[in-house]
Amino acid sequence: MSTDSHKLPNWLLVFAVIGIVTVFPNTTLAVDSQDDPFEVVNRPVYQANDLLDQYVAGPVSQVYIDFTPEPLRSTVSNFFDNLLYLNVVLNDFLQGKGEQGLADSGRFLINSTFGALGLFDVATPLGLKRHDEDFGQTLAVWGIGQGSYLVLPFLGPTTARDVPDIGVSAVTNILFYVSNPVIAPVAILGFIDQRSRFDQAIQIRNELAVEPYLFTREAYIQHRNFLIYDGDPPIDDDDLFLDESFAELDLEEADPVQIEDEPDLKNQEIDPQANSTDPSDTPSRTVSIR
Amino acid sequence: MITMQFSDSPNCTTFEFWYNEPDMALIFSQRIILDTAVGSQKSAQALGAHGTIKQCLITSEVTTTFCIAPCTPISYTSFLRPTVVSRIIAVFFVCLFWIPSQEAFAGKASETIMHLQETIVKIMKEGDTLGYQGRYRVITPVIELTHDLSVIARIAIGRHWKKLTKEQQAGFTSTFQELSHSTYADRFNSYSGEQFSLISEKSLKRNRKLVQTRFVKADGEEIRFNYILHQVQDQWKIINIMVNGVSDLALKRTEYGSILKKDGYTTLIEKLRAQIKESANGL
Repeated sequence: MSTDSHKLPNWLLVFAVIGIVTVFPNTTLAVDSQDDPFEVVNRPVYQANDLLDQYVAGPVSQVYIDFTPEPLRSTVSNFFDNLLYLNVVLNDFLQGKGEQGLADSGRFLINSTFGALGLFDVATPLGLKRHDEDFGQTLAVWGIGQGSYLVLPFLGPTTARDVPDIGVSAVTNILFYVSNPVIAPVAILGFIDQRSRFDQAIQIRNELAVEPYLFTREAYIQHRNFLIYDGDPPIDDDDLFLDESFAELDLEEADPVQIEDEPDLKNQEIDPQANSTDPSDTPSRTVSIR
Repeated sequence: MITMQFSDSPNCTTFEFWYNEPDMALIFSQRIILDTAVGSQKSAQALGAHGTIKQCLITSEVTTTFCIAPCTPISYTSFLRPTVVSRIIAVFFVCLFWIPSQEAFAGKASETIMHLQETIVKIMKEGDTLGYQGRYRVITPVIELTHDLSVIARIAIGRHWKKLTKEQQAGFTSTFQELSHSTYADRFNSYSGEQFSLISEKSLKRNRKLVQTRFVKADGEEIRFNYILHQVQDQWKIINIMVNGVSDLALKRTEYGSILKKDGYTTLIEKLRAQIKESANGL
C-alpha cells in the first residue's frame, strides 16, 4: 500500500521511523514472526494510522464515494493510474520484461493522448492491459530479501524491500515535475482516490479480522508475494504451511508429550519423519490426472 | 454417458449435451451455441447445470473458441453456415475433447469448487429476497459439503489445539463452523454481474489438489480464488482458500495463535462470537 503521495514530509517520517527502528536493536518483545522484529514500534504506528483513517481519511473517502457517481470516480482513478504509470513501465524493464514494458509504454502513450491525459482508459479495450509493477517487486525479482515488516506513519504497511519504491514512485510520478499551485488539490484528490479504492479492502478487514494488526501484516506480505509472481506465486508441491500443520496433527496423535513445551508457531521446519511415517495421510488416490 | 442434441437457427447451431458419470455427484449439462454466420461476430457459451455461464470466450472473426469442459479451450474455425458439415465438425470436436477434458481438467476437486461457486452466485443473485437468514440457510449445507471445516478449525489454531480440553475443542470447532457460514452469508449478499470461472486443477503432493479460479467483477476487476482440497472418503473438500494470494488459513492461524497466547481461549471465542453477531446484524 505504498502509494504515490510524494509529499516530502513523509520522507522525514520514513527516516524517523527507520531511525527509531535501528535504535531498538533486537528487542524480542512479543514477537510473533521473524518478519516483524519491530512489532513494538509498528503496533503503535499502526494504531495511530488506524485512528487517522477512522476519523479523517475514512470519512473523507466515504463522502467522496457517496457524492461522486461511480463513472466519475473511475475517471479520476484512470487519471491517477496514468500519472503513476511510468513507474510500471520503468519496473517492467528493470525486471527484464521487455515485451510487457513496450506494451505498457504504448498503454501510457495511448491513454495520455487519445485517453485525454489518462482520464479515459482507451488502451485496455485495445488489448493493452494494466499491469502492477513497482520497485519493491523489482528488488524481489533481483533476489533481494523481503527484510523487516514496517508500518510507516501515514503510508501504512510496507517492508524494508518496499521502502525504496516510495522514492522511485515519487520521481516517476508526473506530478513531481509540475511546478504549479494546481498540484496541491490534485495531490489531495489523488490521496482521496487512493483511499476510496482501498475502501472495500478496509471494510473486509474490519469484518474479517479478529486481530487487525496481524491480519494486515500477513495479508500485506502475502499479497506482495502474489504481485511479485504476477498473480501466480508458486504453490509449493510440498506446501510447507499445510504440511507443517498436518505434521503437527500427526505428531500430536503419535506422541502428545513431545510437542507440549515447544515454542509456539515459531518452528517453521517440518519434521520429515512425521511426514513420511504418517499412515493416515496417504489415502488412496481415486482420480488419476493426465 | 453423453447425450447430445442439436438445433439450428438461421445464424447459429446450438448443441446441448448432458454428461453423467455413474459415480459423479453432479450431472453436467452444457449448451454450446456457435454463431456460424459468415463474417458475424462469433460467440460461444457453455451453460452449466444451473444456467451459469462457465466460460464465454469471444475471439476473432473466423475462429470460435469455446470450452467444452471448463478451461479446455478448443478452437473451432467456423466459416460454414449451419450445415451437416458444420455439425460433423462440431461433433468431432465434442467427441474428441469432451471425455479427456473432463478427466484432465474438471476433476472431482473442480466439481466441489463449481458446486460451491454456483451456490455463492445463487445467494448473491437472490441476496435481497433471501436476506441474511435465507442466504445462511442456503449456503450452510453447501459449505459443510465442500469444506473440511473441522480440519480447518484444527489447523487454524495449530499447536494450541492440544492444550485445549475436549469441551473447548468441540466448542471452538462449532464456533468456527458457525463463523464460516456467517462469513459467506454476509459477504456474498448482492449481485452485480460478477462471475466465477475455473482456470485449472493441479495435483499437489500428499494427495491434495489445487483448483484455481477467478472471480470477475462487472467492471472487469479480477480476483483470484485458489483452493486447496483434500479427499475425505469420496468427497474432495476445501482445506484452504487463497484470495489474490492471501491465504485464509494462514491469516487465521496467525491471528488465533496470537490471541490464544496473549488472552486465552475465552477471549478468542468471545471475539469470534462477536464477529458472527456482527455479520448477522450487518444487514
